[in-house]
Amino acid sequence: MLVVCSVLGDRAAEFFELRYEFVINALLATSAVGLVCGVVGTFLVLRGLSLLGDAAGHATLPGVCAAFLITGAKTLPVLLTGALVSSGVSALAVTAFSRGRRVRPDAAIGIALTVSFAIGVCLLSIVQRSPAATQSGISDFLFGNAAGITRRQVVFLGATSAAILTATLVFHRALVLSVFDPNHARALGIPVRIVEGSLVVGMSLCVVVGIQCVGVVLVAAMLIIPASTGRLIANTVVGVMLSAAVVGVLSAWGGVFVSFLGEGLSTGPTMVLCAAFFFVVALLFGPQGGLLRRRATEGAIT
Amino acid sequence: MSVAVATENLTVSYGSVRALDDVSLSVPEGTLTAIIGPNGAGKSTLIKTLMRAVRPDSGVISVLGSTERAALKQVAWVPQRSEVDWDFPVTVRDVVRHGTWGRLGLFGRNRRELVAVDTALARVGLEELADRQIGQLSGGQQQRTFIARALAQRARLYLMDEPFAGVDAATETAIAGVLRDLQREGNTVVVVHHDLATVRRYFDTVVLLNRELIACGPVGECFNRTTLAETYGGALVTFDSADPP
Repeated sequence: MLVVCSVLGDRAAEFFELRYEFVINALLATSAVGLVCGVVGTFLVLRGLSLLGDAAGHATLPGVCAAFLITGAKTLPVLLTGALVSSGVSALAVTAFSRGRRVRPDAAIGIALTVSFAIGVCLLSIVQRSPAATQSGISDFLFGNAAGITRRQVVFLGATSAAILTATLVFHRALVLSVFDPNHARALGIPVRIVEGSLVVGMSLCVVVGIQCVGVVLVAAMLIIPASTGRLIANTVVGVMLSAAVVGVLSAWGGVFVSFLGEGLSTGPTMVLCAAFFFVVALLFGPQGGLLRRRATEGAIT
Repeated sequence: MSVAVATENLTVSYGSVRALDDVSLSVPEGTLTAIIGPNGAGKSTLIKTLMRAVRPDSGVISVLGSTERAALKQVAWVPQRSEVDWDFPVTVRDVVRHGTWGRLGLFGRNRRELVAVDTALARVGLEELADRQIGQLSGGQQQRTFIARALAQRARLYLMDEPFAGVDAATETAIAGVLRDLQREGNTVVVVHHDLATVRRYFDTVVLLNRELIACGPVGECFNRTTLAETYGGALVTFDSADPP
């Protein structure tokens, strides 16, 4: 740490001394986001629904704006309820359309993502015309603003994350069976549709938790990148979940650090870039399917 | 003898394409049954409909004497190899443990069930590969993994979609042995099968299907040139020494 400080100077030293409350809040909040998105993202990625997270992320924007326009209040519970409703509706709509054979799931996701974001951007222009909007912080939701997170928000984020984590851990066997072989799971008496629906709801909650730190445009990255990195590290679902959680939290810290150094950088993009760094490292050196290792073992599998 | 699988006037379509047309059949308990028919005959559809993974347009299904979904807990399922996500991060042992869900539930850990998993692994000869991720197995080992999952489930009815596809001769013999053991223990095994030459050797009952039911009953009665010609159309099929008369 001393080395880091001497290279990067006083600004880095200030960071590691945790002198500012806003830094502590940002670290706590983004850690919760990294952890919970890594764990839930694991199941989304394994189920082949990575992009559903992206659709749900973009779909929070109309909800946030509509909640503001309807109530005129910019309090967090109101805005986040709006976000949860609109992202949940769009995610469930995607799952519902793509059950028929006419609309492919990737197309359904693309439609939901772009349409809801278009609505969101229109509403956002209306919001920005209103005089209360300038300091409403609604544009913080676009790219995330971990530095602006208050202690109350941290408590809310922590509690929501704890609830999502507990539910995931309790039901993880049912989730694994349903994702891996739905026909088998159904025969064993697992209500596969309900399990999948709960996964989608859990994902929407992650998105809502995540948008405050990472923003609506990039929040999906925290669901997809750490989980995909975890798959390159581990060969069991639990291993992937743990690796994804660790990568998520490290990316969060790295992102907060970088954005602290480069004042004015949003935390969302810096967190995503840190996660991408871990992904590339795992892609090259990961024990499962790392490119360099794969070349070495090629042909060893019979 | 009681009935393991029965359908009455079962019709299934995918969009406007009819996969099964008015199929009424019954398979007695304790048999080793092959479902035979050309590609697109609805063999997999029949099994999936029995598993309630596909919803029929009309008709009645009963499994182990019951039309309730709960009866499926007594049914073990071996999917077609192409339908499994082999990159999924599970080991052979994980997959076999999935078979014990019915007795373990949400948190399940229980010594007896772990023994059941080990026994199942031993019966298909996969003990040494138990900790491999399933994508790192050969075709035959992959097939045996799912058969071990079915064994660990200790079901009464085993529905298998092409368990002999793409396996070598040794594996085929081993799998056939396991199926015979299951039958000897009083279970029913229903298998989608492609190799006409081995029908007589491995099975005692046969279902001939080509969207409509052609025949269903003991191999000796139902598996002959006439029914095969009807099932596969005129263009048939080379036979080896195991030829039907």
